[in-house]
Parts: sequence; structure tokens; C-alpha cells
Amino acid sequence: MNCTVWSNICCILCSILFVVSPVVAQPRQAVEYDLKAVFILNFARFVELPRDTGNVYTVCYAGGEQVRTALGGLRGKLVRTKPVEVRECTTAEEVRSANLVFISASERRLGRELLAAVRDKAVLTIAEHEGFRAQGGMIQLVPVHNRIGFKVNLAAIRGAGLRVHPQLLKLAQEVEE
Amino acid sequence: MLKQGLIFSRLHLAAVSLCILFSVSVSVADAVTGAGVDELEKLSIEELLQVEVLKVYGASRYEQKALEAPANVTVITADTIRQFGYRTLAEVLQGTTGLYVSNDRNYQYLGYRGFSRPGDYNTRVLVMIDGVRLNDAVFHQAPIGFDFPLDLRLVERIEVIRGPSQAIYGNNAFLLVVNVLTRPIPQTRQFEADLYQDTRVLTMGGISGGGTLPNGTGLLLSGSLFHTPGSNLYFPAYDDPATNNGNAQHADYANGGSLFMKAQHGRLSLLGGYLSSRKGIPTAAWGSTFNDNSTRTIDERYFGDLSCQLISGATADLKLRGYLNAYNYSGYYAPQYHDYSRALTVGSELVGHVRLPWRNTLVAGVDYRYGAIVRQGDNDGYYDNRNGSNVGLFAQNEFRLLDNLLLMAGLRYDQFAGNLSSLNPKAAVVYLPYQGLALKYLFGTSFRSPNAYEAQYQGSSYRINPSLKEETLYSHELVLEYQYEERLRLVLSGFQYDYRDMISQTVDSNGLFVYENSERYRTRGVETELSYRGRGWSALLGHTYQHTYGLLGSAHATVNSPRNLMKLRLSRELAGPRLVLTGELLYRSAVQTLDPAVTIGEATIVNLTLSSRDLIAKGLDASVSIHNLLDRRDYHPGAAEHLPIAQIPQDGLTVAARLTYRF
Repeated sequence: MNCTVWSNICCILCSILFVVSPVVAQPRQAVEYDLKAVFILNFARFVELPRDTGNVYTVCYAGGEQVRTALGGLRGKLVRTKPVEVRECTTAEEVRSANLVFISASERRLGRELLAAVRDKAVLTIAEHEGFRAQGGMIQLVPVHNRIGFKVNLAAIRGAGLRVHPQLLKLAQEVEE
Repeated sequence: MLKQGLIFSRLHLAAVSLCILFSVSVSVADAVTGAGVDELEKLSIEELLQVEVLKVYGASRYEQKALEAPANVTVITADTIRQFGYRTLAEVLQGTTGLYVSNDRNYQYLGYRGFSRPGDYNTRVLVMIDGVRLNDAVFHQAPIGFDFPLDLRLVERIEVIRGPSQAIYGNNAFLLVVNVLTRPIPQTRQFEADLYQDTRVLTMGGISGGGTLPNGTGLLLSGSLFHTPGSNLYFPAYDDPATNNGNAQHADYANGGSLFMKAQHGRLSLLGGYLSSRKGIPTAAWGSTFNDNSTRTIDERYFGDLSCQLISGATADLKLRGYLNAYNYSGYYAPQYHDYSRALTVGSELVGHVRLPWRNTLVAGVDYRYGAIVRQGDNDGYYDNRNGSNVGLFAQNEFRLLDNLLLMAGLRYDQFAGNLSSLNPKAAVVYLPYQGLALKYLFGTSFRSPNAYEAQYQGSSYRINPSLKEETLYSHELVLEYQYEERLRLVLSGFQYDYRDMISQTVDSNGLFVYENSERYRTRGVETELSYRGRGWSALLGHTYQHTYGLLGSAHATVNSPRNLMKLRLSRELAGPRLVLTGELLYRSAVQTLDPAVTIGEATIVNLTLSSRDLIAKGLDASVSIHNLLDRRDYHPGAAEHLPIAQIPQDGLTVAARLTYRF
């Protein structure tokens, strides 16, 4: 191929990139747990606790490296004026003092114990695995084709004395009364 | 030459001015790109619900992260298809690293890493729509051109799984698998109308609608039509006053239509499709009369699938499905030859995956296919009708030995009609030394039994070979994959493919076509793919270098086997995702044709597309594409049936416009 053609091609393709003014765009793809972490943050904001005690909003999780990294990104963000604190939990004791607990799919066995520990307590429970809501869990993150959706167990939320914003229910895949 | 240069510089100017024009009028969108927690936080929940998670399904038949999948996989999303103005599956694949398409102006054939012999059908590629096999029972042909029975508007994503996947998918997953996943059924009622027109007078249109019925059943219906009178083409081989001086007029036409439906109720889902297409053959193929536009093929395909998700969840699932796939072919060759085939396969499959203790994930299944109709015939009195079944059993286990070390082993056993059977192992090691970095070693074997056409066709100018047997492939591939926050992805791959006893079309001493297990090849190569997603722009650069050589005197190794293939795709958002300009550069080095005296020079094709979504009016998508912007004259090698035409001319500059309205 002669070099005039190459230079012309390069010129056209570069013009696509650089002639146009810089703009910013909406994200359309994300790392799975980054996306889930932000869903969790939104759930924290849309579900009100009965007594807002303490100076921080504690998010407790059971999960692997990816969950740790992603949820770590929520540290310091605000939920109703309180900064988020994130910590890993392995015992029932640790969970009871949290405001929100997230159990990843790989930790479902441990999740069952943690869930039992906070039953009817004012702790928002979120997980990914099937059967979580049947065990009394509150919000389940579910895959919807290539995206993420969520299902809500409203009975469990109300049973624990929590108040959920109607907008959240409107966007849920499924709401169990 | 001077004139060409002048036209080119005008186009060049036009393209640049187009960029400038749009750059002035854009406004800065309010959201941000990239997808870290900080950026995602700025989105509302409605917007979060629209963000995609990048995962692949087809590599192991359950959803897993691309980085950890025991395969080298490329995912092409609906946005890419729309923004790059792709019209057919062939164009999508043409833009994919390592792949190239040959068009003989009748059908389109997929080449992969230097392997695409003229005369072979797409038998070594498995193409599926939502898991339904499209390769038919007579030719095993995978449709990728206008004979692909799905409008690309209905595609959610396409997964290209490189290398043999026979160990899970069975016959035809010889070189690669193309898994086309259709878009989900909309929750609320939605309709879409689409119209396409280009300067080669190709017109396409379609309507679709979907939603959820009051009883909870989700439904998606679609219908599409296309029509083109085709180009007038010049073939020097027929440049004689007796054959219209080599001009084939009105012989390259194509028209047809397709229907598609998808329904879902609870755990049950049903999908079905139908396609009818007609294509004129301008190359006087199979000894037909040159410049006679009654020479044509008519293809009819239909498929259906009813599946029930017996168990569903992140830790286990089990799916039972029943499916059918039919393909009817009719060929009319002037002055009066006519041949045909009819194929109907029905099948059933039970496949599931389960997470087992000690960090094992097992995928297993059983697959039964019955070729109810496998019929071929012609108007010279040849007729052949038979049926046969194929049972496949497979299992694959993935064992996470350490947090960052995955071992995968799989095995599939197939029993075919005619006492042919095959056992195909597959193995992979995936090592993740750092976050985002994967090293993979992939090993696989493939087996392909001769199709009915190769084994049994006795039409005019054909002789059958009773000793024809299966062909095999042994593949080794080493992959280094690095991914940084979904922004940057680098894949480096080195591969060696050993092809044995390849079923090859030859011409015997009486001038009759006959298939023999006569060729043996080795391909070695290196493939690189680098993609980057920045603020408002993205780029992908793919390059494949390969060297194929024949062993034991095999002759056709270098035919249609480009040493170098390069793909460059650029995309720039001008007003957020609402207005996007894309450019694509496809480079192929020189290729040999079947005629030893004819070599086709290297080719560089540049395509540009400007597409808008919801910009002019809510729900309205509009796009303008320029295909082959440089108006390069390119040719593709043809098979023996087209000789003396060894190289088949391709389309030059084409300008296209498309409007889609969603309501």
C-alpha cells in the first residue's frame, strides 16, 4: 500500500478522535461488584432505619477479594449525613452492630447464620443467592441478562421496622408483600 | 489514478468537515464515563439498572467473567453493532480480530486465523441464536450473510469463542463458536420500526414489538424485509462479445424476509424464526450461462426452541430444551439445471451446571439430535433421502485449586449415524497472578464428520467417495489477558493448530468433483487485541499474524490464507452516547486464489458511521454510514465452481442511511 493512502487513512481516523471537542459520556459497562456496591449504597439511602443512632453508617459484608475492593470504595460516602464505615464480618456479634449487611454468593452458608443473627433486628440485609428472601432476607441482587436488578422482600423489611422509599419498590423486579 | 486521487481527497475532506461540523454543535453531557464506584454513584437507580456487566456465557455454558473463562472470547454488544452500522452478521465478524469473510456473491464464508478454503462451506463454525444451532443437516452450513435468519436489531450481544469448543457443543464447533443472544423481552409495551437505504439500492425495513401480557407472558415479535437489484459487475474472464463483454447485468440481486418471535412465561421460554432469501449468482457458477439472471439460489430456514428452566440460581441451574432446525435449498442454474436439498433436525438437550464442594463447578449435559429429513436431489434424476441420529454426552469441570488458579477439563462423546463416533477432550489452565491479569493455556481437539453433501451428493459433475471419513484438529493456545477496570483490555495469544485428514474438494481425472481426506496443515500464529475505553471514546486494535503450511504435499494451504489481518475500530461520542462517530479500518494482506497465476493484493477497507440516538426526537435513532470510504477495489477468492473467475469483485464506496423509531 502506498504511503499517501496510509497517511490519508490515519488522518481520517485521527480526526475522529481528536478534531472533535472533548465530551463526557454515561457509563454503560462496569465491573460487577463496583456496580453492586453502588446499588448497596442506594439501598442504604432509600431504606430508613427506625432509630438513627451512632455517628456512622456501618456496612458489614461477607465475601471475597472483589467484594472487599468494591465495597471499600463506599468508605466515607454519606448516608443521611453519616459517613459509611465498611468492615468484614464473620460472627453474629459483628453483624448485630451493623446497619447493613451484604452476603456475597460465595458466602451463602455463612450468610444463613448471619441472617439468623439479625432476624427482626433493624439491619438491612442484602445478598445475591437464590433462596435468600425465603430465609427472611430483604433485598436480593439478581442478574437480568447482562445487567443487575433487584428483588425486595417487603414483609421482611417491614417486620424489622424499616421504612422503604416507594421509588425503590417501583424499580424492583419483584416485590413480596 | 489521478481521478481516483481527486475523488478520494474530496471524500477525505468531506469526512473531516463532517467531524468538525458535529464537533461545533455538541454540548457537554452531564454524566461521566468509566465505571468506578465514584462515577457510578452519580447515577440514579434507573440508570444503574441500565449498566452492563461484562460476562461471557458461551465458553462454559454458564455465565462467568470474561477474564476467567477458559477460552479466548470477544463480546460484541448491541451498541457496537448499531454504532458501527453493521448490516449483517458477516460484517460484525469481519470487524472481529482474527476473522475474515469471503463473499462469492452467493454466500459468505467465514475465515479464521488463516483458514478459509474456497469450496468449503461454513462447516467448521458453529453459529447459534440463543443456543439454537443453525448449521443444517445437509451442508452443515452456518449462515452469516443475508441468509442469517435474524435481524441484527434484535441482537443483545454476540460472543465469539475462539478455538475448538467441540467438548461442549459437539459437531461443527471445530474452529470457533458464534453465539448470538437476542435482546430481552421488554417489561412494558415497546414497538420499533426501522428503515435502511443505501446507494447500491439495498433497501431494508423491519418492525418489531414486545411487552408483557396481562397474564405475565412476555412476548417479542419481529419481521424484516430486504431487497437489492445488485450491482452490475464486470468479469474479465468473460470479456467476449458472445458473453456481453464480461458484464453481468442485474444478476447480483438479493431479496427476502425474516420473522422472529420469542415468548416467556415463568420458567418456560419459546423462540422461533423463519427466513426466506433469494440470491442471484453473477459468476456463471457450476457451468451455468454467463449473464443469465435466472441463475439463483433460494434458501429457506426455520428454527424453534422450547425450553424450560427446571432449576435456576447462581449455584445451580438445569435447563431442558427441545428444538428444531430446518433448511431448504433450491439452486437454479441457467439454462436448465436445478438441484435442491431439504433438511430437518429435531433435538432435545438437558444441560446444567452446579457448584460442588471444594470449589468445583461442573457443567454436564446430554444432547440428542435426529435428522428427520436429509434429502438431496436434482432434475437429472438424482435423489437421496436418509435420516440418522446423533447422541452427545459431555461434562466439564472447573476446579478452583487456589483463589487465583483454575483448572478446567472437559470431555464429550458423540455417536453419529453410520457408526462414526468421537471423543473430544478439552483442557485449560487459568492463572490469575495479579488482579486483572490472566494467563491461560487452552488445549482442545475437534472432530468433524463429513456432511451429507460431502459424503453422499451425486448430482451432476459429482462423484461420491465411499471411504470419506472424519477430519480432526488439535489446538494449543497460550493467552495472556490483562484487564484494567473495564477501561483497558489487552489480549496476547500464541497458537498452533494441526489440521489432519481435512475433507477437501478435488477434481478427479474425469473432471468430476470429489471429496477426499487429502490435506494436512499446520497453522502457527500470534494474535494481539488491545482495547481502551476513555472518556467519551473507545478504540480497539486487533492484529493476527499467521503462517499456514501444508504437510505431506497438501496443496491448498496458502489459498485464501492472509498472513496478516488487522482491525482498528474507533468510536467517539460527540454529544454523550446520543451522537457517536465511529471509524473502522480492516486490513488484509495478499491472498492466493485457486488459480496459481492469480494473487489478490492486500486490501484496506475503511468504514465510517455517524449515529444518533434520542437526539433529534425521543425514540428516534438515525445514522449515516459510508462503507468502503476509500472506494478500494477488492476481490475475494472464489471456489472451483466459479472458475475461470478466480477472484470475485466486492462492493466499492457505498453511502447508507438508517432510521429507527422506538415508541
